[in-house]
This record gives sequence, C-alpha cells and structure tokens, in this order.
Amino acid sequence: MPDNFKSFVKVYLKTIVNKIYGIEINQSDLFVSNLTSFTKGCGIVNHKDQPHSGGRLCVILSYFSDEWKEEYGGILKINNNTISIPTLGNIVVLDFTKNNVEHEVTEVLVENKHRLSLTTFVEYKNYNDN
Amino acid sequence: MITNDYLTEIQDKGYLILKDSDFSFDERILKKVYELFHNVRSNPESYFKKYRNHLKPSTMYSVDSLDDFNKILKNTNLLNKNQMELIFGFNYGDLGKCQIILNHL
Repeated sequence: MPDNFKSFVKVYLKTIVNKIYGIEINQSDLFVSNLTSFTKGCGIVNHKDQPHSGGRLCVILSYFSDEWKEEYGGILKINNNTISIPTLGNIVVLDFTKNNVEHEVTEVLVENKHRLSLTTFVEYKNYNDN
Repeated sequence: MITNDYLTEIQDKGYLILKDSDFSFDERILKKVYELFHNVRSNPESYFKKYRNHLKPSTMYSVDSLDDFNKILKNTNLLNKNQMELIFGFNYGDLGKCQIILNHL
C-alpha cells in the first residue's frame, strides 16, 4: 500500500473517530487495520473482541464490495440480527468504551465474489467519557 | 444527527450503522481512499495474490480463539507500530476462515 495512500486513510479514519467520539487521534494512539477479502466458505463465528481495558476505543468496519446482496452471505450480525451488508459506502462502528457486543460474519455462500472490508481497531490511550 | 447523538447511540447500543455520507469527509480524501478500494474491487484476485506470494508456511496459523490469535500477533511482533505494512495469513480455525492482510497505518 503506497505511503501516500496511508496518509489519506488516516485522515478518513480520524474523521470518523472525531465525529463520533469528539476526540483527536494523535501520534501516541494507534490504528491497526486489516484489509480483508472473504471468498466462498469464509466467515467469522459469533465472538467478542478485546475489551477497552487496553485502551481500545472502537473498531471501524468500512465496506467496499460492489453490489453485494444479502443472499451472498458475508453479512455482519449482532445478536443474530442482520446489521450491515458489505457494500461500498457502508460503515459500522463497534464501541468498546461501554460495550463489547458479540458479533459474527456469516459464511460467504457464492463463488467468484469477494467480501472486501477495511477493519480498523482504534487504540486511544486517554479516553475519558466523563 | 450531531456528534453527541452519535456518542449517545453508540454507547447505548454498542454499535452504529452509518453511510459515508453521514460524515463531512473532505472530498479529496474520500476520493483517494476509494481509489484503492476501486483497485482492489476491480481485480481482487490479483491484488491479494500479490500479497499471498509473500506468505511463508511459518506465517500460516490455525487458532482456536481470539486470545490465541492475539498471542500470535504479539509473538510475531505484528503489533509493533513501527512496522508500517505487515502481511499475515491465517486460518481462524474454530472462528471461521478468512484471508487477511494487516496494515499498520
């Protein structure tokens, strides 16, 4: 990934964090991003992520598959409810400051489709929600 | 929806479902971000194959839990923020299956 692209992604992610939490991410904080491709048979069973105790603020899920349909699978579910279809422009944020919801990604059911997402864990050292 | 509403909702529900249009993104930034997304989307096999070629058998893991996964991350220094781009393929084991690439931004 070109370095100049990383700088744009950082601004993109900082904008999301600032809009929701009203804070500015700085050098001492950390984005850990996974660029993922799920093909047929791929999914993640119901689970919780790591809690806030380590400074984890949230996880940002940015989707960028084209024309994804629910019947393809690869659907984000929370509490067994369909939350989001991974189509370009959809963004889901899971909170760790007061929550840690169980979630899953249902198995991708179709050939020749890539469920593409950018998953970013945000580590923020000095969050204070008071 | 204003910022305080976002914060209230995410802390009440545990999650937020949004569209990129909900944010006041700088158009130039969004265009650049979506350029990469477009490139990956246009030819995902090629894009991910490029990275898979860098994977070695020793970097392929099977894990039974997220704790195990995180131990592997620590043991392989993948959480070193100085490493700007790292590639890591693994099998989620009981958690499912996926191909994954880690990029530290």
